[in-house]
Amino acid sequence: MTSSSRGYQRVDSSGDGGSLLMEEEGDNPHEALLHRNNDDYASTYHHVGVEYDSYEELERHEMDDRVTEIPEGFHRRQRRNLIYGDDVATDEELRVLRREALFGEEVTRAGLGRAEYYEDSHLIHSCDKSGHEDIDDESDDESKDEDEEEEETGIRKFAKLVLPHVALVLLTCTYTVIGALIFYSVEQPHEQMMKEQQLKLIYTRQNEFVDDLIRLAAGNETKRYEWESLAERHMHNMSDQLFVAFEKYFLTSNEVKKNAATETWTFSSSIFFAVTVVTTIGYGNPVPVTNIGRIWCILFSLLGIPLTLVTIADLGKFLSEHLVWLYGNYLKLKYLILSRHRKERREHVCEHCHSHGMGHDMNIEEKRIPAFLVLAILIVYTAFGGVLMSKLEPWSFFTSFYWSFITMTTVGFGDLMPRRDGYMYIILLYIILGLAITTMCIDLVGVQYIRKIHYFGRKIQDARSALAVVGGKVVLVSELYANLMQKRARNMSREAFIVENLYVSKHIIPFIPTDIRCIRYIDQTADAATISTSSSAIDMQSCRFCHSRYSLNRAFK
Amino acid sequence: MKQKSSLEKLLRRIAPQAIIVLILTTLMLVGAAIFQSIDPVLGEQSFYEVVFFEFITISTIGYGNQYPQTHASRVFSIFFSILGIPLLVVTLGNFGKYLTKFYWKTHGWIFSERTESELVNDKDMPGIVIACLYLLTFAIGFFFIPHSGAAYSIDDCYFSFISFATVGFGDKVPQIDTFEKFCKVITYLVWGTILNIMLISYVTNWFTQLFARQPFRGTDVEVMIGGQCITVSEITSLVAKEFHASPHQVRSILHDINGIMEDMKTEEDSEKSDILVAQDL
Repeated sequence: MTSSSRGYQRVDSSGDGGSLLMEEEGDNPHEALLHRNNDDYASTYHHVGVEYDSYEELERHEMDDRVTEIPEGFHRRQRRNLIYGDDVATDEELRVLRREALFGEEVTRAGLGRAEYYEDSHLIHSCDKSGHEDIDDESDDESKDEDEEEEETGIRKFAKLVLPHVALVLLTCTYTVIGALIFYSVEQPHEQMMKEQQLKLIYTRQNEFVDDLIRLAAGNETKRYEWESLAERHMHNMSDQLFVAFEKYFLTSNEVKKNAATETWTFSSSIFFAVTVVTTIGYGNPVPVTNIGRIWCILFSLLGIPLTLVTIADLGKFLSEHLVWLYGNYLKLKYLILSRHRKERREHVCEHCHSHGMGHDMNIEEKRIPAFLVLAILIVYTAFGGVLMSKLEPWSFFTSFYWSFITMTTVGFGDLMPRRDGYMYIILLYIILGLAITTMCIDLVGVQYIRKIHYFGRKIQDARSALAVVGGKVVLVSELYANLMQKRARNMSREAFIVENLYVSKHIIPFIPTDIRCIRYIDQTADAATISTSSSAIDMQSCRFCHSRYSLNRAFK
Repeated sequence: MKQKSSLEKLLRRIAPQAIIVLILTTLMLVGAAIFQSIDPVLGEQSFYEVVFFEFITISTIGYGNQYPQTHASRVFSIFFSILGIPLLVVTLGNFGKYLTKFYWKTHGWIFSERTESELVNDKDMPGIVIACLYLLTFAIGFFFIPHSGAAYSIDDCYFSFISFATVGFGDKVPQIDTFEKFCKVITYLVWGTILNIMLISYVTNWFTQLFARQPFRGTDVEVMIGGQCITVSEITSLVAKEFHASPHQVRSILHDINGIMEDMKTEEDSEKSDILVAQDL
């Protein structure tokens, strides 16, 4: 039983910084492969390191982190120059060049193999993009050790971290405003023209009606039937006309009364419209009616929707990180207050781990935010929207609550629409913040459950079917490995391959869900299943560190 | 024996998907019944129209031609969407993934090469293929999908795209007065939404590469250890604390270990690469 759940058990941190090698027990042919694989990477890591004369120099340049940073910085610089053409970073460029000189041509070559590089970075950098604002203690330590040049660039470093995010938000805003301007310039004249035409038609109908009435009166008509049929005819005409005007051209009764067209497509309502498009809320009021407007709408949303998605995900990530930080502080505080009175809750540690020096007193900080807290945040925010909208609009609290829910899930029926006047920008802010918060909640809670679903039902028998978290993505080790091998086979130059995948080796991390002890495996053999179910819950405990299931009686005899 | 195991494997692969679809269907049917019983306006509509309304809601298209009107049905629609939206997103996303995998498999089969992409977990379809699929879909929509806009015009594309992107203004809505039309429209929308998910993931990746390309520091990597998620730097400092050493010393030890491993590796280097090549074939 113990051996059945051994394959994935141990996570030994034996590499440098991030390199965690997976140690496999049991006799599996693949396992040896993986080992070799890892060794390979470790060596490749060193391969670059050979170029340094002394260890101190190696340390100073923090090769392990910077090697990945250089080609990236290199690219970003190029791209940024392409996009913005700004000259902020000229001496930045000098630094890059200097590093290039330091690292030799391998890095440069890897940097130039752009297509492959992107593929890789897609694999690795997929998830965590904005998580670098929190500079942890260790890097503080490091920065003390850095020479003056590095300290000098502290502010610039910060700017470097923040700039892409700010640029992203600004780009999205600009994109939306430009889109809105085009909608405004296309739709507004057309709308004005159409509305005036419709009003003219309505008043022509009215005049016809009056003319007919006068004609009847002049003819001294007294039969009620004649008057009735006339009135009916004209009323039908009029209601047809009005219906078309309301339905198709969004004329309002006030406009008809005043015989003056007011603009639906004002500048602010264009912005409102553009935001509802790119966030996919789509209330449906206003909508483009001209063909040009519609084609532009398609093109606009084609790029705009993903762009907004990225931006909002970025904002959500930012929020979630701060929430995690806050929650961590809260936990520390709680621990400080309660530690005197509380009896230490003991988690079980098996003999094996105990002999390796992992005791009960090892305090691993838990940074998982409970789902109910996240849900509470969501509900509080929606309720806040309810209060806000019931102040701004003539709606009841529940109606407002319903509106903000339908909006934040981007369903957007359009049965309830906020007025588009001075408050519109507040409402837009509320909507965008709400979407960021929703994304944050999915980021915090959803990800855990998705990982669990991925994991669920897969008993890990060997290294190849193990799951690894690579840059926040759950992948099969075998697939990752195959991918790397393929790339290696294709790449004639060994060095390029090595530098490209240098960081991959360090970030292959066996993934273990937090509540692995509770998970039963679908593909567990019948025997094993009966054994594990027959033994009582108290009897069976699993170790906090290596997760091997063992019997309490046996362990503490 | 072997066949049986492969069948079992297939079943095991399909089963979770089937279960999700089953749950979704049940949720839709039960939800429709409840909507009909608590909302007088929806109650007057036929059963499949209510199902269509539910689909429009949980796909977040939200045309707005049908919407809940009583308080009870609004409360229910909130809970219904909390359950339904993630479920539908997962279902459609999975279908999209299968489609992509299928594409790469066929691609590899046609060109009779084991492409690298075949092995990658989630590589997007090439943009040109997505564009072709879109055009094909638009062509189908052009001829077969009835909606309230003018047929055979720009309205078709506009209606389709706005629906697929789940914007759903509601100025052009599909006509679902008969059951047959309902089936056609819902298949079309499901297919289009899957397609749109692929498109969005494609363009999103493109944007991600453009922008959020942060330096990726080894120390910031999150590791699942002992059932908890902590960063590598935290591990280092923990280990350092445990042995009463500074994080710096630990790091230097790690560097040394790497050096040792390098030495070990160079010894077997030549034979190893041979084996690797053999494995590859």
